[in-house]
Amino acid sequence: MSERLSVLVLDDEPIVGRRLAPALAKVGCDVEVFEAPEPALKRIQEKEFQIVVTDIRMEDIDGIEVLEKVMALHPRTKVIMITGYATVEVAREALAKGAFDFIAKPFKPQELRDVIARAAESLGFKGIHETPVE
Amino acid sequence: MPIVFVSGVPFGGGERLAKELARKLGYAFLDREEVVARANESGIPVGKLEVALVKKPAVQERMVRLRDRYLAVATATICEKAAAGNLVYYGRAGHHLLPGVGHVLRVRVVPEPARRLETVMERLRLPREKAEKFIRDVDEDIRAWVRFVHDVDMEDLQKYDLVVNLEKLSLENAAAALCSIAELPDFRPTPASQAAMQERLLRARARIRLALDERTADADLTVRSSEGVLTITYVPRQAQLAPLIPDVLGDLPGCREIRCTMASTNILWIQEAFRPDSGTYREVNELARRWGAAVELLQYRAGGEEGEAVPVEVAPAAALKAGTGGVEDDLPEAAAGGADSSFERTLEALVQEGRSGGGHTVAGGRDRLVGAISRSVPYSLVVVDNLFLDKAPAARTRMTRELAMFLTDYVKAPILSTADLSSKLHLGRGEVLKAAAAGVLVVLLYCAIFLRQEGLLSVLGGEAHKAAPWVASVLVALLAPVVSVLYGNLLASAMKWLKMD
Repeated sequence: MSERLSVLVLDDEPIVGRRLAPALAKVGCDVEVFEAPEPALKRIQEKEFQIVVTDIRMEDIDGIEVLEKVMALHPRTKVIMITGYATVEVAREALAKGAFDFIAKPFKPQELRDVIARAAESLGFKGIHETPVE
Repeated sequence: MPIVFVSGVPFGGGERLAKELARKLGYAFLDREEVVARANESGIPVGKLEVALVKKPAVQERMVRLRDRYLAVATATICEKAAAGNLVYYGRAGHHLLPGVGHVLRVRVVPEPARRLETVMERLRLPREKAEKFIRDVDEDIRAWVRFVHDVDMEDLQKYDLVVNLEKLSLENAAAALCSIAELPDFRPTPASQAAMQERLLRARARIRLALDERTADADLTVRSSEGVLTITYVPRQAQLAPLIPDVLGDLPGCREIRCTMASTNILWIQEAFRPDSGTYREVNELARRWGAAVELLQYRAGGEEGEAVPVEVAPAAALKAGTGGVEDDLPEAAAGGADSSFERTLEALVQEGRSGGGHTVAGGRDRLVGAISRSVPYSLVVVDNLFLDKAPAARTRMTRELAMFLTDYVKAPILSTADLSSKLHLGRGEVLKAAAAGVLVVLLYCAIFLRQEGLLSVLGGEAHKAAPWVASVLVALLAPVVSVLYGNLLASAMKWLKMD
């Protein structure tokens, strides 16, 4: 198993990737950021990421569809949903379809790092730090 | 015509029924989705509340301020739309937003279970088992939401005017039946019900303005209104906001006058170590809730290094900020896990309850403690406990008692320890027995008096009184205090039981 955790971040707002990539890299993640679902799904077909972090509300393909496709291709991948428009219905649907966890915006990077640490632990991955290492 | 509130569960047919009803009646239609969208546009992240219900019920306690903001937006949106004309609203339990408004028809929709399951399986592309679990989970989440947001049980059918069971009734026929009921005179608006709705709207708009203005966003303000007069109450530590409030609420439609008043009931709680899950927190919070009081925390370390009082600030309520994509800045390392995080959590819990009077930490001698207590704040009670933690228990008790006596003179308010507070708030077993004994003795005494009236009257002013007039004086002197003590004990226990302070 590699030393670093492979993470794909998908959000149509470019600022999300720009803020999350360095925040996750600090705790031992190799992060690839995508702003559109199609190239992200193409990359997921090429590579099995350990963690996928995806927004739910996006044009063309929504996050639930991304979740379904990731689960079909790589059942071991942990998918974490993030959204500013969370409802209990959407959260329950995502969890029913195999999402590892669900985070409502706004959130602090530490909240995501905590969830990723739990996901990494469930994958048996030991190289992740709970807090940033400078 | 009334505002028709249709409440239901997802995929249960309620929304379609509400839309059909609005079409038949020619009313405007509004649903919860639109209300949530408006809240999100205003920077109020309702999703945080929703996800808190799914993930961690304990987090709800920290979401009270967010909940209140959402309720204000929901109330304002519904009232504004209803004021423009007739309205059908579909949501989870929206009628609880307008208590006291008479022209409201409250309808609960009970879905047909098999049809609902099929709809979930088809629309969410879920297998049967997962769809069944989804329905169970979502229903439980929504029950929890209604409990948390409106403090009611959504299954309590007394809260509805009508329950529509879709097991046999078609949507079209249910809508037709509801059309007739909506036109009954029982649900027509009256001048009083219209005025009540305007008051609700005014209060909601004021809360939104105060929540969204950065000068007042994180202040602990209470909003009341009566006949267009808004009364805003602030806690003493936020007295500097008083001149800003009229500015924030300046041109609020429907507002005739704005009055700003300082909370007159305040509790000062002095300890060395605070915990939001402690019994003392619950006691103090309960008392503050009953009194409508603000609670000021003062963390005092008698043996610590001398220092001026330092105010402790709490992170503001969650808000969607433009340009961040919903990803906030990380907390600084010190703030993320400081030594006083339990103090901050206690303060935060009070902020979220809307009862925070601020927090300070101070260390050193009594002069430092006194310097941290403002004499201009009208304290109604001071709770002192858990101090001098590095001392032996006996010394700790003695020193705490001495400090309490010293503060009594300085603060001019009752000083209580945690144990005193608990005994003053709750009826102990001993007190119940004492009250029961007092009750029995009072009854026996009155029985004796009324059954022996002739003899008693004789002693007080009859033949016996003529023979020995001093006996009447002795009898009154002995019985009056006994009766007053017994009666007093009984009444004090009864008032405590009824939670009257």
